[in-house]
Amino acid sequence: MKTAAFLTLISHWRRHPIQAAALIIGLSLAVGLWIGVQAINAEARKTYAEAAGFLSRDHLARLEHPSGFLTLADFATLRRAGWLVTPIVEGDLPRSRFHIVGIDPFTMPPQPGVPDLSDPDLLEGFLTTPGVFFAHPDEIAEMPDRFGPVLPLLGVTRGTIVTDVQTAQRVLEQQTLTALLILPIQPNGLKPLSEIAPNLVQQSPETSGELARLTDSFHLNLSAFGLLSCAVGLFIVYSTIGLAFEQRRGLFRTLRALGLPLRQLLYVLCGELGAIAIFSGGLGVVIGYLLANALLPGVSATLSGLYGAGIGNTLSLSPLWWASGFAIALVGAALAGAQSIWITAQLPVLSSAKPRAWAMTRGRSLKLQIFGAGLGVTLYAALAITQTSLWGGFAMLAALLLGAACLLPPLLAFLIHLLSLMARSPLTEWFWADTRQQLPGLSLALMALLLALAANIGVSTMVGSFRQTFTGWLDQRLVAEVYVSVESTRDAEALLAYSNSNIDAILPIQSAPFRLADAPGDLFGVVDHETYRRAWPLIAMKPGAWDAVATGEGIMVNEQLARRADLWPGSRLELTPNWNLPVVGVYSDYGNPRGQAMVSHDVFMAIFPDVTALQYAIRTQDSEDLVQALEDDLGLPQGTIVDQAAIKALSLQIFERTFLITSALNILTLGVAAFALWAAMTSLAAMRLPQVAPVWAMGVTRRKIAVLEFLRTIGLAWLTLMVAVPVGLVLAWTLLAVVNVVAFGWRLPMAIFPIDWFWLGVWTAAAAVLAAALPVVRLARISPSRLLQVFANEH
Amino acid sequence: MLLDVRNVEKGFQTSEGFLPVLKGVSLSLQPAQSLALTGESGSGKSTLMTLIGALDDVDAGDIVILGNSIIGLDDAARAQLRRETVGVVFQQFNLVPSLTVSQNLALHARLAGRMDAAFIAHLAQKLGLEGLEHRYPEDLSGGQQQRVAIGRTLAAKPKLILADEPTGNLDEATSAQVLELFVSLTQAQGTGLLMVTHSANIAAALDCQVHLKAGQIT
Repeated sequence: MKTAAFLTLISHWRRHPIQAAALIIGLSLAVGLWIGVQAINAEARKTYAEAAGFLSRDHLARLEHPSGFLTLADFATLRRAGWLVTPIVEGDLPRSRFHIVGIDPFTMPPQPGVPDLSDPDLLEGFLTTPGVFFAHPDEIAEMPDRFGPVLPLLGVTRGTIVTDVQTAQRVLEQQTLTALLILPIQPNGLKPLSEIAPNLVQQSPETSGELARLTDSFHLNLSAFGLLSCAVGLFIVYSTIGLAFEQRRGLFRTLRALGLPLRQLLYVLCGELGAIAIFSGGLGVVIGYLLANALLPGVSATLSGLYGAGIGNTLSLSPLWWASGFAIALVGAALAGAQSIWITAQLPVLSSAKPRAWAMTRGRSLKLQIFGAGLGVTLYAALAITQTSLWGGFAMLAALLLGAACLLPPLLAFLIHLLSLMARSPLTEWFWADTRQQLPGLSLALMALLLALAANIGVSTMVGSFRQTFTGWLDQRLVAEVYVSVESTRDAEALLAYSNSNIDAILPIQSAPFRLADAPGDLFGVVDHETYRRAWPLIAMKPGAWDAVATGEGIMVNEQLARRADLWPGSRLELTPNWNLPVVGVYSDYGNPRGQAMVSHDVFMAIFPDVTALQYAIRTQDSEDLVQALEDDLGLPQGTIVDQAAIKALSLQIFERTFLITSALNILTLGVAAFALWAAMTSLAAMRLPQVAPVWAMGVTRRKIAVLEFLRTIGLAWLTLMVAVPVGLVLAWTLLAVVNVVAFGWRLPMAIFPIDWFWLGVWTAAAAVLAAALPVVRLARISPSRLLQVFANEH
Repeated sequence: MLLDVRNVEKGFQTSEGFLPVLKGVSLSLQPAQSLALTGESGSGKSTLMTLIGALDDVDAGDIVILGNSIIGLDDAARAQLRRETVGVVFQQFNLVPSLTVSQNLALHARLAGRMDAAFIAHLAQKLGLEGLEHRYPEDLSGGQQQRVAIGRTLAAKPKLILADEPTGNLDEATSAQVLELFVSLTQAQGTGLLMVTHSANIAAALDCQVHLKAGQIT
C-alpha cells in the first residue's frame, strides 16, 4: 500500500519537472552555498590551528623582554638555574612575504615544525653558515634561495621558514632573541623566574591563535553571506513545496478516499520529502565542494590582503561534509515543508484543491507582514542604539532584511493600487487588476530578489566607499616618491651617505614588533619632517601634535588601536612599566589588522637601540632618474627600489583581491534570487489560464497578452529594486558604521554610487526577462483549444 | 445484510445557521443487489453517499456495513473500510492527473492489495479504454475520464460500490454499456451497488429505487 501511495505521489514530480527541478535546485543551492562557505571556514581554521600548533605556540608560555633586549646571556642564566627553556628568533625576511623562525635544535623538543636532524651531515649544515632552511612542501618552489638551501618539512606553517637560531640572527641582522619558550615539564625545586630574570615578562600561550582571533570577523562575515544565500535558496524550497502540496490536495483526497489512512499519507509525504532532501543534499555537497574550490584562492587572497594569513588551496571531501550536507537538506526541507505537512494533517478528507487560491492567500496575510516589518524596523532601531558588538551588527542586518522582506508585499500592493488609479483603458485596468492578483503568488520570489538586491547595493556601496577612501588614503600615506628596502646595515649606511642632487630627503621607516595595550602590535619611529606634518592621514589630533611627537612628548596611534583600547587624544599609552606618553593623534591605517603606534626617532632608538631601519622613503623631484641612479651607483638589486605608482598599484590590486570573495557571493546570491523568480513564474504559469482566457476570448491577442506578461515581470522587478535601494543604503551604513568598526577597527565615510544602481537595474530587467521567458513564450504559443478548456472546466 | 442505514441525520453549519440535509434516512442493501438513489439537486444524495463511504461523520443514526457499524471508527479503520470493502465512483472522477490511464485503473486495486492485471485488462476492454492506456487524464474527454473512474473502482473488487452519477457525462449508448457492466459485475461478484442517478431509465434498470426529497426518503 505504501509503495503504491509513494509511487502515486512522486508521479506528480514526473509531470511537473520544472517544479521538481526548482525544489531540488533550491535545496541543493541552499546546502551548497552554506556547505561551501563552511568548508572554506573549516579549511582556514585548520590552517590557523596548524599555525598555532607550530612550535607549540598554543601551549608553551614564553618569556620576552619588554623592550626587546632578550639575549643569549638571559638564556644561559635560565638554563644554568635549571629552567628548561629554548630560544627562538623571529622576523620578516627582507624583500619577501616569508617569516623566518630560528630555533635551537639542542633544546627544542621534537614537535611539528621542528626538523629531524639525526643525520650528522644535515645537523652540521643546519648549524654552520650558510645554514639550512625548512619550509612547507607546497611553498618550496617560491622560496628565496639567496640565503642557503631550502628543504621541505611538513608541519611548518605556510609563509614561514625554519632555520637555526644563529642563522636567523644573521639573516635578520640582529643580536637579540625574540623569546624563550618555557617547556611544559620542569625539574622540581627551581627558583622562581621572577628572581632569576626579573627583567623578563612571561606571556601566556597563544591559546586561540592570533590569526584565528584576527580573522574571526572575516569568517563571520562569510558565514552571514552564506546564510543569506542559503535563506534565499530555502525561500524557493518553501514556495515550491507549498505549491506542490496544494496542487496535490486533490490527489491526497483521492488517495484517502481510496483507503489510504491519513497517518500513512503523512509518513509517505515525509518519506518523499526526505528522499528529495537526501538527493538534494548530496547534490548540494558536490556544489558546495566545487564552489569552495572555486572560491578558495579568492578567500586566500582576501585573507592575505587583510591579515597576511594565507590558507591552503586544496580541499578534501570529508564524510563530515556529506553528513552535514544531508543534515542541512533534511532540516531545510523540514522547515520549508513543516507548514504544508501540518496543513495536510489538518485537512478533512473531502477538502478540495485550490492551488490558485493557495497562491493568493499566501500573500494575503498583509497584517502579519506589516507586523513583521514593524518588528524588524523596531528591532533594528533598538539594536542600533544599544549594540556595539559584531553579533549585534549582524543581528541589525538580519532585522533590517527581515523587516524589508515583510514590508515588500504590502508596499508593492499599495504602489500597484496607486498605478491602477491612473489606468484609463479597459486593458490597462485589467492589467493592474491582474498584476494585483499575481502579486501574492510571486511575493516569496520577489522577497528573495529584494534580499539579494539590497545585499548587493549594501555591499557594493560599502566596497565602493572603502575603495574611494582607500585611494585617497594611499595618496596621503604614500606621499614619498620612492621607497627603498635594503638587506643590511651596510647597505643602509651606504644609502644614508649617498649624495644625489635629486634627493630632497631620506626618511627612515623604523619599526619593531611591540606590545601595545596588551596586544601584539608594531612601534614605528619617525623623523620630524614636513612630509608627515602635511600629508599624514590624521582623523583626530591635539593642537601641536607633531611638535609633541618630534620632542618625544607625544605618541600617535592607528585607528584600530584607538578603537580597541579606547586611546584617543588625551589618553596615555604605556611603553614600558615606567614610561608612558600622551596620545596626541590618531591616524587611519586601512588594511592593517594590528595595533600600531608612532613615536619620534629618538624615543624609538631609546627602546630599540639595535634596530636599524631597512626601509626608507625618499622625497625627490625626479623619481625615474633617482631609481636609475640608485641602481647604478649603489648596486641595489631590482625589486628593492619601488616607486610610488608601483606601490599604489600593488596596494589597489591587493584591495581588489580582498573583496573578490564578497563579489563572488554577491553574484551567486543574485543568481539564486533570479532562479527563485523563474521558478515562481514557471510554477504559476499553468494557473494563469483562467485569468488570461477571458481576455483572449474578448479579442486581445495571445501575443499582446505575452508582451504584457513581460512588462509586468520587469515592472515588478524594478519596483522591488526601488524598494531595495533604500534598504541597501541602510545596510551599507550598518556595515560601515557598525560591522566594519568592530570587525576591522576602522570607520569609513559612506559614498553613494548611483551608476551602480543603474547597472543593477539593467541586470534586474535581464533577470526578469529570463525568468518570464519560458512561461511567456508558452503563453504566446498556447493553442486556442487549451484556452477553451478553461471554459469547458468551469461548469 | 450488506448495508444497513438507520435513521441517519446530517446537517451543516452555514452563514445563515444550521442547515439540516438528511433527516432520519434509513435504507438497506443486500449483497448482489443494486439500488438507485434519486432525488432533486440538494436533496442530500451525495451527502448520504459520503456518509456511507465513511468520508464524513453522521450527526445521528447508524450505518452498518457487513454487520459492523462504521460510526466511531478511527481514521485508519475508515481508510481500511474504503480500501477493502467500499468503492466510490466520484461525480468529479478524482483521477490522479500524474498517472496514466492504466496506472489510474490499477491504483485502488494496488492499495487494496488485490492487483489483478488480467481483470484490469478485461475491464479496460469492456469500458472501451483500449488504446488509451498510456494517456494521461487531461488528454481524455469527460466520458473517457468517467469510464476510467468506474474501472478503477471495479478493479478493486469491493463488496459495496457507491457511484455518484457515474453515467452523467456519458452518451446514451455508453451509458447503457457501463450500466450493463456494473450490473453484470456486481451480480457475478456478489457486490452491492448504490447508485445516485437522475436518469429514470437507469433507475428502472436497477433492482430497486429510493427517492430522497428534502433529506427524507419518500
